Amino acid sequence: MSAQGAVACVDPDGLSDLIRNRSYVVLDCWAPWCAPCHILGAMLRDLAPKYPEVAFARLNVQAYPEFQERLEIYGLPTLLAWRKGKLVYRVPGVPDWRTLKSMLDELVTGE
Amino acid sequence: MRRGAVISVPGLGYTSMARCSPRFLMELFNYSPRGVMHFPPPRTPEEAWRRTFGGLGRSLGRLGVEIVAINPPGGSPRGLAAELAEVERGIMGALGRSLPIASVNSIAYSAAPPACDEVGLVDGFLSRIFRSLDEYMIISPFGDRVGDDFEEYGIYLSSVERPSHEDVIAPEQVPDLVAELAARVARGRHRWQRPAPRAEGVNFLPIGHRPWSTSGGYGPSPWSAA
Repeated sequence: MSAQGAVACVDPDGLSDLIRNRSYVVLDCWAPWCAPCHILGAMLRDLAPKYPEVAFARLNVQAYPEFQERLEIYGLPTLLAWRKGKLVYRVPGVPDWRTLKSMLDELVTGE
Repeated sequence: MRRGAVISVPGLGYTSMARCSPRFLMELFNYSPRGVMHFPPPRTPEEAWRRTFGGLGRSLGRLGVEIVAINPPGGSPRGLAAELAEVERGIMGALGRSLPIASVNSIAYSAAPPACDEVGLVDGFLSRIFRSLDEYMIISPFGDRVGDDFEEYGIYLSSVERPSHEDVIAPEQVPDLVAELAARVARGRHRWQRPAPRAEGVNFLPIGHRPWSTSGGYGPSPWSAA
């Protein structure tokens, strides 16, 4: 379970638990060798405390290739967001700060 | 002889780049071959120098390039600005007749992650030197300070491509990459053409379109993936 205000490292099972139990889930799909992933990871670590209602998680897709295929992740990083169990956003690459904040605002306010 | 330099800034990681958006480094990040350094503990400036550049003699072999070590860790502390000025003088004095390998250590010796104005100082320093280079390697063997330690992942930006696309770079691999850079410097070989940088402030997103997608398709992204 993701601690409030932090970005938790999860495996696919942990992600399923989060999606089942939390209203808003943001998943950072990354791999250690991917330089832009480290930029996005730092951005999410900075933003997570500002969105306590959102469960932030990271999943190293290199360790779970079947997960990568199932969620159709073709490039890294890719950010996925679920609202009430439904996948609502998919952001490939590193968005700028404003775009990322807008997406998070809309995730928690939009229905 | 072409002009090349290797510059190590331990403690300045991708987290600082994300937090402070240093103009030159972000621009270089966008168009340079890049990668991720991985440095297992112990992580100190001295270890960074020893494990990253310790094997250089073996790797450089008979290339015939003189290596000049500039500001290895362990000297007396003198503040970031003074250190940068000294390292810049050393690098500029060595360019064209030898390959300078320099370290900027103040950030890693500090007890806190770098403030953005410090990141800006390093950014300006790198930018000034870069203008004089044909070949370059800018690395942080490990990333930003976290408590008593540092992040395990650091920066790799270089005209020499990383050895494996889907792998991090170990410090022990750096001597071979420096040897490749030295070979290019010595022979005038230039296998990588620097593309024109993107114009600053260009918005690649269609006006009125959201940059994210709910349909599973790929929306345009301001930055490309690795």
